[in-house]
Amino acid sequence: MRMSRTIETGLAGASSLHANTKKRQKQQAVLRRCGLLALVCALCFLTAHLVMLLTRHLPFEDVRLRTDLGGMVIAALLPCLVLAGFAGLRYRWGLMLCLGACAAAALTTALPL
Amino acid sequence: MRETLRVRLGWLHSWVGFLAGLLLVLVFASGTLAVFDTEITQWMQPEVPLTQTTLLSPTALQAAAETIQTEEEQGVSAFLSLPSHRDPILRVLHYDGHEFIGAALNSTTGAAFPTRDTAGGQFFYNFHFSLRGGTQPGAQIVTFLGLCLLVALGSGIIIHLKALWPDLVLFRPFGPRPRAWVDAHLIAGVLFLPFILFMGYTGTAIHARLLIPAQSFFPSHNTALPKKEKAPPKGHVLQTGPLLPPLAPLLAQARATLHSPDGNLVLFTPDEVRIFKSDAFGPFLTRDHVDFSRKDGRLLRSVTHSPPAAATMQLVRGLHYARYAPLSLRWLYFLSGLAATALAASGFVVFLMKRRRSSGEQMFFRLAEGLTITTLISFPIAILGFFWANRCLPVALHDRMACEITLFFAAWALCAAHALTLSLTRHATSGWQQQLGLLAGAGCALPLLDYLSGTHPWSHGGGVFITTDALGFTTGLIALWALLKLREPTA
Repeated sequence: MRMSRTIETGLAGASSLHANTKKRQKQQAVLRRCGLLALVCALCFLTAHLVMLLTRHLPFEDVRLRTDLGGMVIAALLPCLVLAGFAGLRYRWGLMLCLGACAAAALTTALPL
Repeated sequence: MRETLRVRLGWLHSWVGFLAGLLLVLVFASGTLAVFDTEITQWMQPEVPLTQTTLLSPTALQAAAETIQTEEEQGVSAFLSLPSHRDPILRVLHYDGHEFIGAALNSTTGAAFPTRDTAGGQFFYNFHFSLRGGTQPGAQIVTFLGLCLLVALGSGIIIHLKALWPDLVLFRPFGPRPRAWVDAHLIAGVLFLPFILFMGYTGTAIHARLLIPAQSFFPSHNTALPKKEKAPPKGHVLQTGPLLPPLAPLLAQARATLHSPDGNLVLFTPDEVRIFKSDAFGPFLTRDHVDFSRKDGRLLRSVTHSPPAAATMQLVRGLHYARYAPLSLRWLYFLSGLAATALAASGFVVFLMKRRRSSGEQMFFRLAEGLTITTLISFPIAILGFFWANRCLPVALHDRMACEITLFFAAWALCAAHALTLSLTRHATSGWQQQLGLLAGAGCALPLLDYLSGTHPWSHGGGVFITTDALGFTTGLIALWALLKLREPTA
């Protein structure tokens, strides 16, 4: 029976195991990042949608002007929220910020002005 | 590996930058060309002499009015673009679903020039904001890409915040290859950051309402939408209006009110004639206008003041569209657009270089490299193919404009198929080299083709032709230089 040196010494086997563990950890980290990014993006788009709905209450007759102003707010707000939501790791403050922004927008839309 | 802020944002920057960048680079390149859309149209319609003045005769206006009336009878909603210093031609235009196209008239006699049918520079303008996919989903995709650009820019700034000043001045083109490409990426990103950030923000803000409309996704929302009146499709009319009144006196009155001596737009509805202020007047895209009755030509109203909120949006639009910009500023926009394209291109190269050793054999890497060739080399080849088609297709060809556009997409599709095939079969280097060779040939031969076509005199108004040909030639030279660098044994 042919025995490889790998099995004989056991050193490369350990190294391969270590590499596999490292690879698995890396894959898990990437999956976690993708999940967080998807969640943050969903929250941010919901917030942006609610902000756009709020523009209907702006005191301008021109509907297009209202949505244009909403667009200006969204173009500034959405990337900042995505970045904060993704970057804020400690105590998940970024995600909390996104949730807070979304809740604030939802409350403002739901409550009568 | 420790999950630091730089590591997380580096990952976000790489992947959002690469995936969105594959399409964003097309938006940057076409936007850069769209800065000179009028000049490209002039190059593509060499039959129109550019030596005319901006003066308009009543005869020419009457001829334009008759053309408008004829087009309305055919169900087409046409408008007038009056001569300006940038484009001294009287044009009767209509929207065909993608571009504003139409006849070019002599501003003195009103006779139509026998121009070739072409989309001209309008093609690049349309491609820039919608990838030629219409409002839905084209403009929506571009707006989403704009948001991705802002996220990538934000993460890039945070990653390089500490080294922002050294990045501004540090460029080592003769250093190790990855270092040189990172330096190029950083220097383009940092030097042109204000421009790229501003254009990304304004472009996204302008069309954000298309991506996220102000209508509830939830049916139970209490606000009912008002019923829409039956409107014709864009560029069409449902009913023809009465015969137009003489336009010359209306134009004189409107110009005096608007303080806009040339380059106005004149729109027609079944009841009204609307004369708009020229976009070239200032950075505010005001759309100030004077309206007259279509029946008898009497003044109905003039709109010359905008509230501050509207003025803000007008400034955002005006600065993004740059229609106000004089030639020097237009060149600055053009160079900044090129820098944005170079930023994305160098980012792609860095992305691939970083992963070549670890993942070079994987199918996804090869696909990524094939797609990179498709955007970085095949797209410019298709653009030059569009210019070649303009000179090579017969002037009287039926549906010539559609043929030009089809040739553009056919050239791009063929090059993409070539790049992907070679890349997936582990011959990506050949793909880069062959396509760079084709780009070099198409670019360097453009001036010769233009000269041999003999479509226009070089003595009068030749500046547009010389500049366009020179830019094509420069593109060819850059591609040739890149090809020679790739062939060096150390490469």
